[in-house]
Amino acid sequence: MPATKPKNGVRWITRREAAVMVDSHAQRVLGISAKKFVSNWKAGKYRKLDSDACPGVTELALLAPLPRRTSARRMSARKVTKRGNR
Amino acid sequence: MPGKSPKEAIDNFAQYFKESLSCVTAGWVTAFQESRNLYKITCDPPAKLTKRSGGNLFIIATQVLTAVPDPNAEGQFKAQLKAKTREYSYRLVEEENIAALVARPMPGLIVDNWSAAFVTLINLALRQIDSGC
Repeated sequence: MPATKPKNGVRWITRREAAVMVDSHAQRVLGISAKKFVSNWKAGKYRKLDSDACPGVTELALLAPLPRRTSARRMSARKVTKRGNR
Repeated sequence: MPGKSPKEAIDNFAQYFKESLSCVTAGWVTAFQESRNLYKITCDPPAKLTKRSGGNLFIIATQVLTAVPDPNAEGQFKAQLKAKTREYSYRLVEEENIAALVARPMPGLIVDNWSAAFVTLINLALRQIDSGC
């Protein structure tokens, strides 16, 4: 997906450009790379991080490609399907 | 603001989002597709606001979206898609946070109250722009 010029005030960027943007956010907010942020997140290192004490970390968490768990409702639906298949 | 494709639905939403922001700032909105049906929009760089009494404020608004079939579409528009919000974070910043409105519900759930939070942020920004005059 190539980057496009702002059209009506919306600028579409590529995944690569997004990765650069997230990396610079991570460097600015926590002083680490986006890759390190994601691995720390997966390891649960930010569970007790106070977002008031660390402004910008919430946007970083929203922008970074963090694993998004399936909702509880979908999980239970999946379980039912699995049982049904057995 | 439905669209014929997921990207068009998100683009239409982002334009609406930008239009709302244009009440207080001329900054643009950056959008990207993270995965098959996960899109993100943000103000990058943060949207700059100038106070009438001098000094600057910044709006940092980030939203995570997905495209879903429009439940209100009928007839020939039945296949149209609409942007739905999964998570958002809106911050109005001077030197420190003036306001921070965040919703990060259980993944997979849709956030319905984003527009009320967004309007609150814009109203706060307008009040801050005029404050100290």
